[in-house]
Amino acid sequence: MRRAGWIVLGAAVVLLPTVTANTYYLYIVASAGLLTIVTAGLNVLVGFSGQMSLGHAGFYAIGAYTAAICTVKLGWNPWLAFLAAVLCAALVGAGVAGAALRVSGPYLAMVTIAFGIIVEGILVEWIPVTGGPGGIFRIPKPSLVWSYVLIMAVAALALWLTRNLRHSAWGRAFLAVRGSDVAAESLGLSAYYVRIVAFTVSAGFAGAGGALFAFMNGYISPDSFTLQTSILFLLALLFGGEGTVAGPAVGSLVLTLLPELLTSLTDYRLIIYGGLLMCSIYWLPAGVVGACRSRQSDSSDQPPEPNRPELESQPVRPEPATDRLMEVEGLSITFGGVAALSGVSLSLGRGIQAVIGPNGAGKTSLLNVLSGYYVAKAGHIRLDGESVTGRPPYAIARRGVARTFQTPQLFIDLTVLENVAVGVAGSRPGIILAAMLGLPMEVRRDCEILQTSRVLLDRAGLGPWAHARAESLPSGLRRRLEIVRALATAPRLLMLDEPAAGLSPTEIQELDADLSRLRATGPSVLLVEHHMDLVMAISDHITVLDYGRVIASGTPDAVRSDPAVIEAYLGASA
Amino acid sequence: MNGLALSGVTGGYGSIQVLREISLRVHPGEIVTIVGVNGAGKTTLLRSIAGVLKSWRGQITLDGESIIGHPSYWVARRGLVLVPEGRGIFGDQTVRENLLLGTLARRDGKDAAAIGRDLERSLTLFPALRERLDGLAGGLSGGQQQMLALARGIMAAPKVLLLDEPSLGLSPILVRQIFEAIGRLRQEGLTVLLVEQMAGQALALADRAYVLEQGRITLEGAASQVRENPSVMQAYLGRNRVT
Repeated sequence: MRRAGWIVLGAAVVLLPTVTANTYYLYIVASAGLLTIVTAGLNVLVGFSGQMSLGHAGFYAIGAYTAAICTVKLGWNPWLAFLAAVLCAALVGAGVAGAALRVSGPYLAMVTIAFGIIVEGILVEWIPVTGGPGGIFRIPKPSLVWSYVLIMAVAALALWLTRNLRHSAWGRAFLAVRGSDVAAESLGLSAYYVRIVAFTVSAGFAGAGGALFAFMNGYISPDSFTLQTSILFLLALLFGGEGTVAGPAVGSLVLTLLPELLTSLTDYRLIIYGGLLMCSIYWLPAGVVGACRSRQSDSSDQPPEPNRPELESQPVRPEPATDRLMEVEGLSITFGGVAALSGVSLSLGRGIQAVIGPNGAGKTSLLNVLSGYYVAKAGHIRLDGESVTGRPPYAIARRGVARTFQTPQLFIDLTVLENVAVGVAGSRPGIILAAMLGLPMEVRRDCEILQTSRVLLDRAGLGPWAHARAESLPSGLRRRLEIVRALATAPRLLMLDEPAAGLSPTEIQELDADLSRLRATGPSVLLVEHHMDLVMAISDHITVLDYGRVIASGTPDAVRSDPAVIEAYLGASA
Repeated sequence: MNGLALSGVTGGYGSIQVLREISLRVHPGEIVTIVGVNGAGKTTLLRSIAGVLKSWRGQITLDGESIIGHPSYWVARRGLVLVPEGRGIFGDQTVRENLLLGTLARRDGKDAAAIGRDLERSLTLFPALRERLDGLAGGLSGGQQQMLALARGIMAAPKVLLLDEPSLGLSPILVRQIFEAIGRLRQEGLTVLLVEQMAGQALALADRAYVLEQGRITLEGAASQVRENPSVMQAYLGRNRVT
């Protein structure tokens, strides 16, 4: 059905100039094509990386004016001018993103609105270069049919590029950051950097659309690049279906054609148009394409039961240089006056080390400090002799520290297989241009990543779920997937935050077996857990925290019989 | 028919069926536990009873009154309160505010004395909450948030309390205390439907039990009998029985 849709759309686009010479139709469809180019790019930002922009008319303008100035004032070849427009918009996009992506959500939307307004202001005021309110005339303009052909070709290219991108390591990185930036950082991805890349790509697409807009009309003025234009871009994307490849095309087509079809109802035109948009949000929250897709996937069968699992780390793994993999000295951190950790020191070597203690003793805080999510007020952390104190999570992850979370942080927009693939690719998603163009070397690399992921999944007994969305996994398997994903980064140290919580006794026995196997072949493990049978059975060393302090430390037997531990944590009869 | 009664309840997510013809009873003052592997549909069942999830077919009655098809807030005001898995606490409000929000569903209205008594009871049960009473709930540790979710359920003074994995993330001492507390609440007349991975402890506490497999009830009976059932012992209690 999906393929049929593309064929019909493609055929209609190709046949249109041969059936009609009516310039009005060609112009309308070409406009839809322009909108498709911009929304395809916006889709990378909004649909993939989950950020919002209400300033894309600014990049559209930068593309249009760069193309116009290069051809009219500098006399460049139009093709060269087009390239310059794309590059210029992308560069400005990278700069804006670097500054703006310190914030996200509604704040980012406000920053981008401000950006759009500034660009519009510059277009009006910088008369010697932009021509001011009058704009720029006499831009070299091919015949309408040629414009049409060119725009449609670029629109098709834009959709193809985003499709390739979605199925590459970069596409997964975008969706990972959208799903859980906390988890993405734990796998070595800098969420900030990934979002800048998404913003840059989408600005480049907007620049391409702007340049073609200038060439099609032969004339541009600031009126075409207002906040309203930015809103239209976003609307077309949301109406078509953000995050889907076809969404931008469908949304652009409908939002360009609809106002034209309604021209006979002049007086009520805007009311009907607005009403339809409001209704579409109600009935089609995931857009037209999203609605079609969810109907299809609903009919799919439930995935089968998982096989008996077996967790193993990847074979290639740098051996820890010393027995003292991580050394922690005097860590302290406070939250709202409460000392979550005060002067905690410990040393992690090979094997399994557990941290136990009453609820609120600071166990998760310790994990968060060690993996870079919290910055300690005092103290030092050394990983294999190198200081990592105060380093961000992705930097610590890149040095071979992987972790899981108390509430599993899965990338819900990705499949189970893709979740693991994000871990396998880790901090190296490849070259984004090569991924978008689908170059053979990049495709080959991606195949390898997916194959490795597949092997890891099969070994963990999650193979039958590979193509299910991570969201559909029951809670016990979510934890398992999170561990597989963490191991996929080939870590030296794996930190597990309550991996047995919510597991049945049988599943805990399986976890016990898995962890024992890790002890033999895999990375060192730091385990925070409340199930004492499990902790006592597999730990080499146990540290007990209470009120943010180490109250006991030693072998399982020593800790079990320590009066302070019994009093604070185990209870009398344990 | 007093208490909670389900007959032929069918439901699920989207078009994926999870619950298949579930019938069960929870008599007033009883603790009933549901045993099953992850993915069997235990959480879905509790969510369906509480009205968070719309059931497809079947009957659910509370003290003889049909509660199926009603929104969850309506069900809560009838005295059936769910303490969900995953806590669902309000992180931007203080612990005290979270607890008082629980009283919205009380049937005795704004009886200040009763609310004060329940607040005292919750804080005695979880002293860690008393220490943090005016701190933001979002600043609590994971286990403390679990305590808060439970205490908030108690603050609603429900007729029937649905507990989804109350021991999740709690230390061994606290797990024992929570099970003791549930037992004490029963003596005060509370009715409890309990879903718990620590099946051994749940069965030791409960009066009756149902075994849920792939959305179907496959076994029911007195908790002591279910606990001695060989297939239950093997499948849900593990080799080393935790009691």
